[in-house]
Amino acid sequence: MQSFPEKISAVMRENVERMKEYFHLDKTVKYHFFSAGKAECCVVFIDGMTNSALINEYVIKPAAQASLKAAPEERLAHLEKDVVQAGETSQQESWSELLQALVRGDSLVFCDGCARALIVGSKGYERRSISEPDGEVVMKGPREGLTEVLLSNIAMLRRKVCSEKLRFEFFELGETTKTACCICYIDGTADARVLAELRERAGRIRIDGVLDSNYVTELIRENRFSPFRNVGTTERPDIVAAKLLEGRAAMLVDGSPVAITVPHIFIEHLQSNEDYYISFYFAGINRMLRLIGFLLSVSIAPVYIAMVTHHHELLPTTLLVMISHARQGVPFSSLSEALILLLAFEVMREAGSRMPSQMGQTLSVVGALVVGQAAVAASMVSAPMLIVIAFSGVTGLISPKLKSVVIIACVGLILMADAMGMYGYVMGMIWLAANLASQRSFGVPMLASVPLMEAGDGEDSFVRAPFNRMKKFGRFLAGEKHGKN
Amino acid sequence: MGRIKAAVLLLLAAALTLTPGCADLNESDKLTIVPGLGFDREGGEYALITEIVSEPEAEGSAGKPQSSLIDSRGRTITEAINNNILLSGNILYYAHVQVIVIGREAAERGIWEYIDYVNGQNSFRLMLRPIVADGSAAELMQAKALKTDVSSFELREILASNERIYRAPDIPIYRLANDILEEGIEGILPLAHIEDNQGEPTSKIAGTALFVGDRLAGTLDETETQYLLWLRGKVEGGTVTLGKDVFEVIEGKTSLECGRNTVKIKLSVRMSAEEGSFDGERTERELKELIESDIAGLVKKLQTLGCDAAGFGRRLKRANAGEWREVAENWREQFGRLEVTVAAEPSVTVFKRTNR
Repeated sequence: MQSFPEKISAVMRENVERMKEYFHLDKTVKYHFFSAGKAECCVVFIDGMTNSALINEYVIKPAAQASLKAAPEERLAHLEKDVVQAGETSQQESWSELLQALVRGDSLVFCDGCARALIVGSKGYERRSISEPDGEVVMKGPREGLTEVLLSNIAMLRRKVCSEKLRFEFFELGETTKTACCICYIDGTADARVLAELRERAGRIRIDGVLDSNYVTELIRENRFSPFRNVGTTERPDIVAAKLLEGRAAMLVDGSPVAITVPHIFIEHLQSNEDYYISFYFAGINRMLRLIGFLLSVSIAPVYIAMVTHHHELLPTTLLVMISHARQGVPFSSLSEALILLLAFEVMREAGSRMPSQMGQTLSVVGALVVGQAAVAASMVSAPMLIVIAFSGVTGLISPKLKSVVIIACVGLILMADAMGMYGYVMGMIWLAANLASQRSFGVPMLASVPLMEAGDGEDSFVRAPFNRMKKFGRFLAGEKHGKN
Repeated sequence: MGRIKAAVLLLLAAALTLTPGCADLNESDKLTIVPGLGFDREGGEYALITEIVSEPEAEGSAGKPQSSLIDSRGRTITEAINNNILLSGNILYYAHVQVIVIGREAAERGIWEYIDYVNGQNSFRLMLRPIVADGSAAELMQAKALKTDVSSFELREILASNERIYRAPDIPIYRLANDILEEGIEGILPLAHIEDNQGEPTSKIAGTALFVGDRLAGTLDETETQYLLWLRGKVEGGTVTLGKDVFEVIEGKTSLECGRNTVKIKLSVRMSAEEGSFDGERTERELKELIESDIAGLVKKLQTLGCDAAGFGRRLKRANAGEWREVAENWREQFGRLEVTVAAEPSVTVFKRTNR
């Protein structure tokens, strides 16, 4: 394959021929020759990536009407200054820079006699319209979601935080994809140590391509094997803006509608942006429900198994009699029953989430009736176990952000409870709590802001205080002087 | 470092499996749940009757648990229980035993061996209720249960509902053991009878079985039981019948001043009466006389039996340990010689049911 020299030639035809040879099978690369006075020029662009109206109207048309009388080496400067009517132009002599601009959607103008080419900003491609993210639906509150276009995402953020202190730092990730990324923060509010750590970790990334922000998330997070996420992700600009105001830093990746926010501590798993858009009483109830839901979803199945296999004496007599009768004729052990049902539940959940909503309903009917009712009737599983696993599954869906923790912890605790009864369950829970307490997210302890850990920080943790009572909004990140009401 | 950490974790996890109860995995359907046991003595043998919960006849929620009885015998309690396993062919699970019925003859021969056996087994709960049958335990357990199909559940429920009406004592086995072992108080247990209910023998718990040491010494009827329970503890329920009128006890307080030779019983009790049955001070005076004579009669009966079921000795011990030490040795005789004075102060509140 032909490669490009470092710099372009002063002979326009030579440059264009070199490109044509390189892109000879690529029909989207378009070449348009025109004469600007005595000088022959060529504009090169990629069809579909550019705004062709802009090229025709503001590059080719004025250039064709102009009479370039300047000396050959001055022509390009003249074109840029006096002829081309585009907001974003620059001259470049390096082939690699020019090609990079071309594949990003800019147009190149080669002019005979000039050893430089003009890059005209003409990006224009189809983009998805702004819509509400399916995964983070709110009943009340802003409904816009981030899109795949970095610039549009930044615009959404700027509209929410109209401050000159809102800063953006651009860089590229991906040796091949050269994906544009951007760190956002509010100057003076964001913790400098977190920012420095984020820059350093992002700078260490070596990867071929970054197609989604999760590539970055996995590469910059600590404790990579822990089920708890210590890097936050969201598709909502209002959440990103709120996190920035709390002193966190965010990172946007071109091509991904998911923004990254750091640090991300445990309590954020239980928070929702809607908590701030509804009454603080209701928000508090919802947060407590999420916590209870999380604890129930990881505990109810292992505790039930511990009870029915090891600690029958802890059950009320009538309940034990009922469970014992329900299990008559079931061929599997309680452990197998639980694992089979958990697997069935997770399979149905996964199948349902990838399916159009109409089919999802069918699935839930079939799942509930066939797998549930018929399995009990056929004595494949016992009804109490079905109730327990279904309850555990449903409570697990209260906090979707903790779903992976719930699945891993639940299965682990079930195995420990079956082997060791309540001892196993308690040991497992201690391990889970110790694992969580030992983790940090960009230097901030994962359990920070939990009332038990730091008295006085409880204003926005398990419950949300009214706004007028929030004296130190996110103070452990932002410092004392910021965020006061 | 990582390997050492992993090895330590592995060792700790392995050590966990040695913790008590860990190897005790039993699926609940493999257990035969025993809600009650009955002990009788027949000749030199122990006759054990075990109630087990069996499959309900109907499917689903409509199926109430049924029960069946297993008879077994042995020269010792352990042998009788082991013979039981041979008959039932499944693991008998005793952690949910609610009641232990002891036949009259067995109780007269001494109940300590049953208490000792139950306390010595880790599977039995110390909250289970022993009951003395005024006949054989087997008959009582075979009697028809009205509400449930498991007679032990029914006996337990009758006992629980007795708590407010003071017709029978509700004594968990650990308290019975304490009462038997402690100086200055004797053990009491509820007494169960068979009564005819619409042509079918049905169990009824009313009255008290009195023990001297661990042997059954006598019984009390329902009225005597109420006064005994008042003397032993709180006055929160019960009724006093004066002629045709019934007075319901709302609350009250007993205070006992126990000396080595005298016991002063003071009882203040607030009762409710219906309009018409209350005639001011006269009724209160009559009630006072009735209660005082009933309690005096009860104490006389206990003294005759040599059974300090009210725990006068224990009160003396707590109030005056020095005096108690002098009489502790011969307390049962001393108890028979005690001079007991009773002072009751009833007060009656009238509740109107409806306005005429």
